[in-house]
Amino acid sequence: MRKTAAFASLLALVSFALIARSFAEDQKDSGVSIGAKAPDFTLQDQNGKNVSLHDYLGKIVVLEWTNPQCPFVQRHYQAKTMQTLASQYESKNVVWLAINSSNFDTNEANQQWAAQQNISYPELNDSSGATGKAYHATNTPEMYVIGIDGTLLYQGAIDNDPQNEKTNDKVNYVRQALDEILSGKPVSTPQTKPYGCSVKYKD
Amino acid sequence: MFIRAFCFCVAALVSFQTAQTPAAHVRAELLANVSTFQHGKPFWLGVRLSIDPGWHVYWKNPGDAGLPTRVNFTLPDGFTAGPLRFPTPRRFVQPGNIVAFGYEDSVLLLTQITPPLNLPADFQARFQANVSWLVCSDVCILGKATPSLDLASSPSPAPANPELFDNWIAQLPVNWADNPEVAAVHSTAIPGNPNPYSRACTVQITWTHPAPKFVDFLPEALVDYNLLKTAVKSSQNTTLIEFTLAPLAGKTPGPATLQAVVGYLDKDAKRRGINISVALPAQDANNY
Repeated sequence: MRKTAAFASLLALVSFALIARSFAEDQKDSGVSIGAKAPDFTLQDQNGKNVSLHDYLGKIVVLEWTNPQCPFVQRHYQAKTMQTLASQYESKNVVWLAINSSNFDTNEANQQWAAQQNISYPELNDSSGATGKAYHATNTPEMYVIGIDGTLLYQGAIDNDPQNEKTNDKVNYVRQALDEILSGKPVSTPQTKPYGCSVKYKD
Repeated sequence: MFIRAFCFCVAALVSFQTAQTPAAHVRAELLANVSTFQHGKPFWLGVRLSIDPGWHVYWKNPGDAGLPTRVNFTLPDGFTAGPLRFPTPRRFVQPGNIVAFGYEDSVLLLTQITPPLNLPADFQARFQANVSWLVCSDVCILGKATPSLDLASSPSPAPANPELFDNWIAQLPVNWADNPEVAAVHSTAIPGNPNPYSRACTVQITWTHPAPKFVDFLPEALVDYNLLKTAVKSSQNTTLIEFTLAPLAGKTPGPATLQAVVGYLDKDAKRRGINISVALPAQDANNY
């Protein structure tokens, strides 16, 4: 009787270890981790100029995954969500980089969009999808905030209002993270679920 | 002259059929499974979304991206609507390994309406559905529509659209114990390592016949967790679903229950679904 119980618990232990092992591989698929080093990249901006993440060590970097054809991106550009944040924090050592990982993206399309929206920050062409996949970006818009030492401090949605129906209880997570980082506090909401269109990867 | 008249006809036809923005890629209609209703007797209302080929709309959990399809009903005084019921959706894996849950071609989103007992004879009721969706292919488009339906009451039953409603009601997920194809469901959620708040989960389904070929795991959204890659394996009469729930950074989730639908194609290639739940205890690895 006792032997059976001991055997059963051994079996449970072994199967637990097996399950834990088989899931360990999946951890890689969770994307970049908060507190880990943000993957470096070099991409062309709308004028064909190379822009690298490592150029901005010592600055806070906001990455905005974008696609001008996505209604969620259009909604935030009409409301000037991104443009306002980028210009308000420009003088506070914050750099804004928009990245377009759509398979159909071109420098010309980014130039057109930047002109149309009166954007001064780089619109980076990631039509191969390599950078988007390194960050596990799944949505447009999807936001990442990188600290001055190159570690990732926020990943997720621009705000808590997927359906565009909130007024008083609306929280802009990027603004909140930037304010906390700039006042030396830990980021209170380091990760949220992004919402929007799926990133239109090539493969 | 002829051309002008023809254009007018086409324009009129298009606007009549869609009654919403052109190139919406989705048409919404409100239908009932009765042509007249009886006082106090529940009946079904359904919003039929007809979706252009190559496009899809989303389930109540859209998956990694997208937006849930929403329906709110406007009813006459005294009428009540049950919860909105979503037929078992499909799981799509898009480029970049982005997982979506939704519908292609068409779907009927259902709710049961209960009319009041006390109504004047031949009562004329107007029902309206406020429907909003995101429809995607290479691009995504937000859409909405407000289809309505007028029904009168009558003393005798008057069924309508029986095939349409039977087809979609059969695709609503049922509790596994009510499904004769399922013998048992067993689920576990083991605290992970190194993050004690992650959960390594398994759901094992024992079928009363060889396991179906196509099985989809369709979890409802969990506020504090990300769902990592899912594996579904079947052999003989058993299907084993494995997945990891990782808490969002900064979250230390308390006890929760993951509600999910397991979708499959039955022997006649009809889509079916069973409701399952996985208890996620609040224990961490140390006191496991």
